[in-house]
Amino acid sequence: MSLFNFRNCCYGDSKASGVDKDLPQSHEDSLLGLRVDLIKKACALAFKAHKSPKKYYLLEKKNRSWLEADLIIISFHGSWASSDWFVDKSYGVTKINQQLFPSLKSIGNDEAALVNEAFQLRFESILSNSSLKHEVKEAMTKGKQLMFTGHSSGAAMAILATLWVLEEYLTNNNKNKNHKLPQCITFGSPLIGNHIFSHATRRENWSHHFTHFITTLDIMPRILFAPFHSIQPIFSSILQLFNPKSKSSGTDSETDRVISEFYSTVMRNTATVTSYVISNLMDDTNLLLETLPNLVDLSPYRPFGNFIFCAADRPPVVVRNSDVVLQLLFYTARINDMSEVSDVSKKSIMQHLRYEVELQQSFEISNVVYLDQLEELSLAADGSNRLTVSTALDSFGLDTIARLRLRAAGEWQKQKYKNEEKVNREFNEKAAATMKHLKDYKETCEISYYDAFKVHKDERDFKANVKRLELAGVWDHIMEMLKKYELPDEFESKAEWIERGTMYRTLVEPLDVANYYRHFKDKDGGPYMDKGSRPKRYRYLQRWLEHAGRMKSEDDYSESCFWAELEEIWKEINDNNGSFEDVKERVLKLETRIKEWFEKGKLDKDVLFEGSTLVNWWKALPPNHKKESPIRSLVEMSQGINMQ
Amino acid sequence: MIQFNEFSSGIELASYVTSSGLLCRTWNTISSSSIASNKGERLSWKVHKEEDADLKIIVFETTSQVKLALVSSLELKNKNFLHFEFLCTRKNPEFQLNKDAYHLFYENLQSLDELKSHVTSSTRLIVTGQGLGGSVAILFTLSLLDIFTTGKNRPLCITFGSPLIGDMNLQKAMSRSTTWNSCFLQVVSHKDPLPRLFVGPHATQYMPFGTFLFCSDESSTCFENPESILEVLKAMASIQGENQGFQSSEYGNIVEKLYQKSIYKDLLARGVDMTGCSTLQASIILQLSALGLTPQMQQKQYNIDINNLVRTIEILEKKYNHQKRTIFDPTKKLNVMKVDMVQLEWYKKDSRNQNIGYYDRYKNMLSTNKFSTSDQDVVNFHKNLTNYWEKMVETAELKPQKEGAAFRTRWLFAGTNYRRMVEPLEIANYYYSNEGYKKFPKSYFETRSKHYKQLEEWLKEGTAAASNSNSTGTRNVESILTFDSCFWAHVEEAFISCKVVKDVKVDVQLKEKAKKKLLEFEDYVYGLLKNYEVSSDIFLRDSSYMTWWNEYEKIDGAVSHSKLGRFMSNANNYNVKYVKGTYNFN
Repeated sequence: MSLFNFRNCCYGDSKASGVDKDLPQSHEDSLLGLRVDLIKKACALAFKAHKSPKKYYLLEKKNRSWLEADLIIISFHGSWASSDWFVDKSYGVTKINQQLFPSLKSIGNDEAALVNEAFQLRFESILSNSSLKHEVKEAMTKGKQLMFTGHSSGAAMAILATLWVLEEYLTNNNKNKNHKLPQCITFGSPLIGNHIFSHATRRENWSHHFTHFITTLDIMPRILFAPFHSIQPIFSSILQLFNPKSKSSGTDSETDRVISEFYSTVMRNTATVTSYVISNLMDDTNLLLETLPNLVDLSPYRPFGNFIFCAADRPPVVVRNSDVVLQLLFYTARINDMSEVSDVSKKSIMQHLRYEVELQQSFEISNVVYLDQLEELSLAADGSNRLTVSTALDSFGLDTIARLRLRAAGEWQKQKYKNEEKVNREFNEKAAATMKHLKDYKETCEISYYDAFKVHKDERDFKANVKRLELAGVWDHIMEMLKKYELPDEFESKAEWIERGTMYRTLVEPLDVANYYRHFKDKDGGPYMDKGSRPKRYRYLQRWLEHAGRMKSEDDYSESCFWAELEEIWKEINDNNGSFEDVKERVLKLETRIKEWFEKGKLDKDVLFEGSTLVNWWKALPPNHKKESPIRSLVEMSQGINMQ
Repeated sequence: MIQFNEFSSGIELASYVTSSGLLCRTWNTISSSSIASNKGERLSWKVHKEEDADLKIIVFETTSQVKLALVSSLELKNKNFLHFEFLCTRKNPEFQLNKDAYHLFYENLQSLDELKSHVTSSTRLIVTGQGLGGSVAILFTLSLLDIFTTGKNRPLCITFGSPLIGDMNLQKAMSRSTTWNSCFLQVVSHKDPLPRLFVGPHATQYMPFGTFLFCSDESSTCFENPESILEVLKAMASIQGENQGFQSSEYGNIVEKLYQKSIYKDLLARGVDMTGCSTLQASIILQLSALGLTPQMQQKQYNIDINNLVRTIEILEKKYNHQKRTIFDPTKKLNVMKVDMVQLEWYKKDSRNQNIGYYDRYKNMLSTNKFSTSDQDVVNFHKNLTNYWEKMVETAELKPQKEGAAFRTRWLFAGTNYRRMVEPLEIANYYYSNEGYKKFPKSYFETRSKHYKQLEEWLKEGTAAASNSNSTGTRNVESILTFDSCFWAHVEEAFISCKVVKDVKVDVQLKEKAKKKLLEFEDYVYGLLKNYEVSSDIFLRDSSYMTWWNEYEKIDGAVSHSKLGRFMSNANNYNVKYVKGTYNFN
């Protein structure tokens, strides 16, 4: 029996949700698919963890009345040492550990996500020093439901732990029906990663595993917008205000001053980041956006996952669009004027510690507000597209400027889907038939496909070349959009597109290689596989497939472009008067892989037709080598068949 | 990106700038008295280095007055003052600068060049000044632009309350490069009369460029469309009247206040009914009200129609956005153009299979005026490709020098290929269609399109830079395109010369001239052959070249001893030996 009701969740994990008669059905008892009593319990545990800072984490799995038998809650405590928040760099980010988190990257662009280095270091140490790995393994094998939780920087640990479990247990290679999807509920979490971090979690469809509760004024989710040097002198004393074991009472006037300064600095940086991001979404051709980032170091941190804004006096507001979350982080915590700064800044500190109370009261208000479809948002403060939304926005004090920003964020999201639709249409209208044409061309070639195109003798070869270019147009356009993140996040992991891309790459790239060597472009441009020569579209598409199957990357060449390696080795031996010994290793490696591709059905037998570059190349190898060659039997067999 | 709803992000941009603290930092340097100042002619400047932030700030100060008069860039050129010459192009050869600002710069030229020599692209740089000092900052930054070609660490010029500096042509020159334009941020208070001094019916020549950050006591907003900026300046003038005792030092308070207020709730456009407004309209209403220009004003004594202003700016912004989005981007159509090239490649090959060169096939089609549908296609490919490359070359020409050079290198291969494939068609068209030679018998070279010349120029630049290109050795002369894309024009001219020599009515002098030309042509062809730079297509039986040769041979004594004559005397030389690379040219 699953404990989580994903009824309200728009993402498609139907397996996890199941049909569950025993689950509470009214939304008073559940929020974003999470049972309210569980949320409260998780919150209590997140705070309880602070009290045992010596333990790496707390684990609850006893069969209690409120706890189903197969649920395990793991909670992490926070740290109040400044070194656990910032390593000494302006924003303390580093490339994410790709061993632990191979999915957290932009696939085609081949760019790893950035993550807070101090958080990552702490998590790595937990993973290698504690029994977490063991506990998780046991739980997953037994098909138990894991829930990670944490407050403050403990939340960062819960997030990384959840991501690690998702990577370890739920990606293709080790997927197991028995495994249950882990959940992560955080309270007052700081941001931990950059826009690629956020993009990658959405792409993997992991967003809904993360529910971040934040009280509207809590300073914590905004802290990392400020460069470390701007808050460094006071950061340690601020952290002590959060430390339950700290002696400082936080009432004297010096503390007041520090708190005000801290709040103002953090909020001003929040204003800078949010204005920058929204300017880009509204109009990415602005002149200043080109020059100013060189002079103003902007925080790279961005929110990810689902957010629930809570306050004691209003219903919980659920926000799933990360761009909207970002804007709200600024708009929900502004002040009217200087006279408020002392009061609000104190609240911004206090609220970080009041989650149990604020949540309790917020949950008592019976309606939940979902901030969706913001592209239709009314601009006027008293607008009424949906009453609850409007009331919620009013209660946040969102004026027309803010509403315009939310609308822009909403439209940006919608635009991405429109772009995808357009690309889809273009593909169906043009590319599908063109692919068919090339497939027919390949099947009717009398010599090997690669060689037919390279010789380029008949009109059909020219027609194939035209088709090749038409397809290049379609795919280049897609690559350009991906580079600018103008397509939906999940685009690069959609089975449909990966299949289309792989079919395209394996069918058409040999023609690109043939064209390259046919025109002697290697004379000026170097080998086809060199950076800058192999078209971006093929590099991206190969990475899609490799990522989807969590395969090792074939950086040097894949089955769709091994011809290039063949040509290069050939040149090495013939043109440069090299000896076979110089290229022996490359030859052997290529042969081994050709054999493997044949076994996997990744290469068609036409590459072994009489007279193909591959066959001629192989025949010209030294006899001693041929005897031991991995593809000897392959070549001989196909020649035998041809002769009959 | 295609947005269904347009936004104007001026308020957001302004908030980005004001909250970042950049303006405060810059103003503090301007007002700081602890930094040593260098005194020049009526101008002083100081340099401040923030070591930890890797930032240099250069401040210009002057107490001079500024007047309306402009000076032309041609006059600067006559004085051999060439700092801004790079802004001029053939299409836009002249611009005008404010005379007083220019004089301040010119009088201090030596010291400023010295200052400039210390600027490198490795440090982040802000150039700033207030009032006329800001104008000098603009000129100094302009003179730097040619150094910063890559996007990294380009300088930012921030002016406070500076008057407009140049005319419409300067603005046009600046808009050639978004990189250039993005280096200028001009802060203008709505109370400051100086920035709007050269706006209005008495000063119609002035035109702003760069981004303007307008501010009132309460709020701020950015505009970057020069025409919108003018409208706003005018509107400010009409409600603020003349000088109300605005002190330039107030900018310090203004930027500080905006910095403080960046975390306050906005009170903009409270009570303005925006039902039915588009997002763009709403954005503009907010932008104007940030400057105190609200619709409520109409009820007051001011003589200004805000609703009208909103509409005007909306139209201007739409036009401007449209322009920005439809800038010709050659990469977008590249694959389509490649298809046309492949089609022509096939045309060439197919012609050869029919034992005719593609030049002659195209020429025959034009002279007999018989077009099959596939011929008609070729005419279209020719047209499309020419249109594309004419535009493409023009775009490259308009780019700033170094940026343009990089651009040209990138397109070198495709451009050369295009020229060699398509120019022969252009030549056929010139000599055999009804426009061109038949109407005005002049040689092709006198009317050759500029873009072909430019493309050839790029190749020369490119190969000079990378001298290792494989210009020696044999190559596959059956599949190459003849290197000199004008080869066929030379052939046509030689053919005409033959006719002249044979024509009994032509006088001797002209005949001698024609004979000389023919000898030159012989040398030219032999030179190409020697380097294997000519496609073997020219030796096909009925080609124009062979026709010419047959005519030329008949002229008595012309060829018997020449090198080319020896080569042409035996078909085996050109049909076999040339193709195989075994003919001995020496």
